[in-house]
Amino acid sequence: MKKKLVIHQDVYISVLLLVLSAYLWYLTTKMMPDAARFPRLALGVFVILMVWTLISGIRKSIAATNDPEHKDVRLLKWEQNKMPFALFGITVLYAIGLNYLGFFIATAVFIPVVMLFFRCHNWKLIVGVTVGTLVFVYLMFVVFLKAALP
Amino acid sequence: MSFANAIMTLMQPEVFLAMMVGILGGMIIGILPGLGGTIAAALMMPLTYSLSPTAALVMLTTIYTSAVYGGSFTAILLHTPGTTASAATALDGYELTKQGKGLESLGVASFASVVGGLFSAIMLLMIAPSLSKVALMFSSPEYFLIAIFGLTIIGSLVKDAPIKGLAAGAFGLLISTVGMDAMTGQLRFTFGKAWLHSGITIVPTMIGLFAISQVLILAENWAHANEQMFEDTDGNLKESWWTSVKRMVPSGKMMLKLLPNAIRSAVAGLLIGIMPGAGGDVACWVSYDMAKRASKTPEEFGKGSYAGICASEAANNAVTGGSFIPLFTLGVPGSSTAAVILGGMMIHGLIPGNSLFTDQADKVYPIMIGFMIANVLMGIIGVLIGPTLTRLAGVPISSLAPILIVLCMIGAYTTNGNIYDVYIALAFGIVGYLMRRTGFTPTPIVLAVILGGMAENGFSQSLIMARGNVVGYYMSRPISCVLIVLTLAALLWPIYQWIRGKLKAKKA
Repeated sequence: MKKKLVIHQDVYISVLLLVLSAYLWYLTTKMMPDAARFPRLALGVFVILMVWTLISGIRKSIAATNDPEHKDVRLLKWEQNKMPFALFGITVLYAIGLNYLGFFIATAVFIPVVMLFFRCHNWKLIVGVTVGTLVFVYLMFVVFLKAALP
Repeated sequence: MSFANAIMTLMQPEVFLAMMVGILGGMIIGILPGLGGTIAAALMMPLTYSLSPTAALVMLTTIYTSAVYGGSFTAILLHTPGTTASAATALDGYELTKQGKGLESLGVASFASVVGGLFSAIMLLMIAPSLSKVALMFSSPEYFLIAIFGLTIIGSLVKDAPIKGLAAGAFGLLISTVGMDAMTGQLRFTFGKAWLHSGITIVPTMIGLFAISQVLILAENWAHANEQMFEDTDGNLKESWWTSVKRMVPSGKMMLKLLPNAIRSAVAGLLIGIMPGAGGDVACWVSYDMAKRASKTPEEFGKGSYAGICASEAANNAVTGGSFIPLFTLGVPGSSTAAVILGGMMIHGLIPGNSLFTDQADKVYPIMIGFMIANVLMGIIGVLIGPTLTRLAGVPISSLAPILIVLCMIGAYTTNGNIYDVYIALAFGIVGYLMRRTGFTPTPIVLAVILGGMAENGFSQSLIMARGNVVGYYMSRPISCVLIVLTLAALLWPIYQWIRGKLKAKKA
């Protein structure tokens, strides 16, 4: 039977980070030697450790390919990660909204959207959490701490 | 600074209020499963900005010990440790809850937490000022080496994957170089963005790596997001307030019986707390094992033993004061929460070392005495409202997640009043999430960002002082030699353990 090639996630990660390291190293060549010294030192250590991770990933890939029962590859799975990514997308829009709409309007929209995203259809709860959070933030940060909000 | 002056400082409304907020905030976040002291300190950091350095640090240190204590409530009543430091508590605590003794177990946990925390606070007050004198002998080479030694605790923090941990640390060092170089004025990795000239701000980084990534992890449980996270199936939380209080206060006889166990566990917790990298999770099991060996009824352990709860809780709270000893004296954070607190110290202009105990004695002594008092107040408040707060553990993710994100955004923004800090927190949020899902740990990045500046300055200045003979210069300094040996040992020990574990697993 033909073996299916399994590539461990460490291989993808280390290759990606090694490419990033090469780009950052290139950026250090444009710096003054004294300013570039410490970043290069950190980059050098990082590259060595990433090469180690790459070799370890290749070994794990070989082991997983040869032993179909032992597929400890822990790949990021879309099924598991799609909701965190979706929530992250909503949060990015919220952050942009903070800049353009201000804190209170953006938050008054964001909280119900996230609660609906989590399939909460209890409107009393949605209104309660939204109003409660806004009142708490207003009293704590604006009135008491006198902090500037976006 | 006299004891009376320190007490007077603590009696100021601002400082006392900060302590109370720290106790309540730490306890609430400690109770919420998955959110421990590190997230509590990072999330509540913005509350400290407008406070005096003393009030700010009293709040941050109090948050740490309260969060550890708060973890015991869910561990005992709901069999879900709020923090990893309460894992051993859950073992006997929940067995006792099933036997209808949940609130009595909470009483024992409160007593032990107070003894452990108070003991460690007294030791902090006694040991730290003397130990800080060692820092007087430090110059640039030693500061570089102490920063590197601080970074080597990464190996201990990520025992399962030390190479990935060290790689994250090296990446964190790189992040610490973003912005204008202090020695040459050169802009590094700023990509033409003016808001990066002053570097990556630590608080948004911590909020992203610890708090936002945790919310994203909670979102993985999307299908059950509207269910109560935990239910009080044993009915302990349905008791009236007064009944809860009466049941939670241990009898004098019980306290006397448990005191030797609590003190022994507190000593172990303190020593483990002083050691970089070994935190409450290690201390609770070590002390639990010690208590079991010393017990006349070891067979009760695991089946519902008050002594087991006492050992675990005294030890994990003693770790907090222990971890402040290397933090205050040398600037070496012994845990991820201590790293966040170090960030808070720097924001408020408190630099670890001897000067903290001389030039800034008017601030540090009230902080240490405040930490002592907070440990006692924490136990009293826990007995009074702990069971009520534990109901918060049932809050569904659908309500908790948006509130946490809003607090994260406020925390990131109020650092400098800059929207770009919000974007930085978001970027580190997704990075932290991906790291945690691919076997990396975010803590080393935070440690390296905090210690990176000290390491680079020490390194650059020592190169100038060495006048070309770097190795000879470092080797001519006895403290440098000791630090080099300690660093190598700390660096190689986890790798040796990891390789040995791999070889053992292969043989098996």
